[in-house]
Amino acid sequence: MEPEEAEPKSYSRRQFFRHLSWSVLGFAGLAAVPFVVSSLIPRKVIENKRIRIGKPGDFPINRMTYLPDSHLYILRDPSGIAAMSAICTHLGCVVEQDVSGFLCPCHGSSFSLNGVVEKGPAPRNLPWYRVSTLPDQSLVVNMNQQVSPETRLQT
Amino acid sequence: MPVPEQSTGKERAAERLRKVSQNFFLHIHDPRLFPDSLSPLSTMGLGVILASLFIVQLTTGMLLMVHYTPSVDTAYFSVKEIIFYVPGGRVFRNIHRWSAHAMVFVTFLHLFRTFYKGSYYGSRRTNWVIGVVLLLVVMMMSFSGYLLPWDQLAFWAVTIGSNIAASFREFTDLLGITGHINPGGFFRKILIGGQEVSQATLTRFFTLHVMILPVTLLVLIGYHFWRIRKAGGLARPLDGDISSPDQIPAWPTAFWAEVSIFLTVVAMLLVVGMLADAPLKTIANPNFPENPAKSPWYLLGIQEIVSYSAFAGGFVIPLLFITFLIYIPWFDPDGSAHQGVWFGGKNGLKVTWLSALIGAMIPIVLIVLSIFIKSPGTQGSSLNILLTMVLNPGTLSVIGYFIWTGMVRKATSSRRLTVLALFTAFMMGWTIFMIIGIWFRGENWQLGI
Repeated sequence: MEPEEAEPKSYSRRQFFRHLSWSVLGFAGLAAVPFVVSSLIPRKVIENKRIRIGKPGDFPINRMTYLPDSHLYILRDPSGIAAMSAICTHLGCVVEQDVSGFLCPCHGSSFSLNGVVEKGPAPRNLPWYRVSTLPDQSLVVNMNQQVSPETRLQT
Repeated sequence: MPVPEQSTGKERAAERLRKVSQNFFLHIHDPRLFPDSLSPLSTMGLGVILASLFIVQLTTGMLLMVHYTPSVDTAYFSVKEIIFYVPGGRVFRNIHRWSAHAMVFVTFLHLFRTFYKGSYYGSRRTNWVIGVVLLLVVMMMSFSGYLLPWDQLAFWAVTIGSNIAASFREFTDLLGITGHINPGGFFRKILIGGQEVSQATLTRFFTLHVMILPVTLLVLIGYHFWRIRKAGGLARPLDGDISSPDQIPAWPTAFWAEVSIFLTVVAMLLVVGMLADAPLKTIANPNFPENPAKSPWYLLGIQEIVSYSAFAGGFVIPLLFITFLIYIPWFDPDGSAHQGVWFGGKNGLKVTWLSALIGAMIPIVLIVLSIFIKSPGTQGSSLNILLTMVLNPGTLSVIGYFIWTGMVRKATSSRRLTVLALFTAFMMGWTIFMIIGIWFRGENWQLGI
């Protein structure tokens, strides 16, 4: 005698367990997703956001000095010090300085000396970052904090 | 079971069928097939060429992997060592590089053959989708291998490529929400393991290139093969019935055909690999971009439209095209009149020629116009950014293609002709932008000859 045949149920025990198994499997898989994804997120990045760039005296006055390791242009003029990103806002090439401003060799975007886009395809101006001083007088560029191009750290 | 010496024709045929049906590797074939399926014009052997190239890639790749070290300090020099010190290393590397390019190229030919011959109907629909995915995996495979030598070419191609992946940011910028949610930047960070291309990127791309993508490719290729049988076997005559007596045993005829294609592929690669050296530029310098910095040729079409607008060219248009590719068999499901017919007949051929012409003319005219008309520029307002996204040769071409396709659909009310029009126009556009990117872009990405 087979009870299932004798008494057909709308939702059998077998079906229930099948659904249960698949759900457990599905939930287990879903539960793994955040762990896998978060393991893929690089952790070292946060440290690099604040960079020590040396003392004010390291930078000649009235010039943009390029820092290769951090891809920054450091401007020192009579009113103080400022830092601008050297990474093109289009696709991340390093911009080159010429007399009238900055030029990206990859897709021909050009920027004024203030980092303002003069010709596309770059969608945004080159960002300027806040510069501050540590107790030992060395300078720190904080890439988490953007400032206007006119901002200077008095020295 | 050995064949009796004095076997009759019938016994020999039975033995041949048995060979296929009892052998795991030969099982990718139906035991019997139509002689037409083996005719060069039927499928042009493109699938077998691709499988051959993949075998060559696996073999040479493993040989290269023995000597390669995925570290930014030593990767470049280990590649030099492969070229100048490892016996045969130069040729293995050359073959691996050229074969990779060939694989991308032949995958496109395979796509064209399948599309223009109408081989995506009915039960072949699944395989069409798997094929589109395979196309993407093959391109990713090639692109991930691009970084490994860690030379200038590699470094800047991948810097640009990874920023194309982040180009969704232009959209979130437009909405002004990038500070809160930045999916483009997040995806890029996961892809390259940091803010810029570095050791983390090399490690990730190495893992992708030698582990994740090859395994994915193997599984998908296996599935792709199995689906051919499931969908009724190789391309066969239109009136060919599966029980037709006109068929011949697959063993050994089909295998000789396949082996000869494989050997031809290997022979050609050997010649090319000995004569032409794969490029290796100076060691990667993160402070000095190549000028112009170009990605591999198959991405140059995208790079060209990305140079107009990163979001439209790097995200919207490719996504639109891939969606369209996958959607084709659902949009045009009735293959009763077109299956296995080149271009779906005479009208189809006409539409294809016209679409190719229009697909080429629109971008050429727009690019010439763009020399004279200054772009609104991207500075300042969101409106300008939005305008640049829409009013550029790339986006306008695509809009033009959709208008053309709409006209074809209205005039013919044939779904097959509609997809023929859009596919052909898109592919022509892609080719034109690629040609511009390859030959007409010089220093600072200036247009010139």
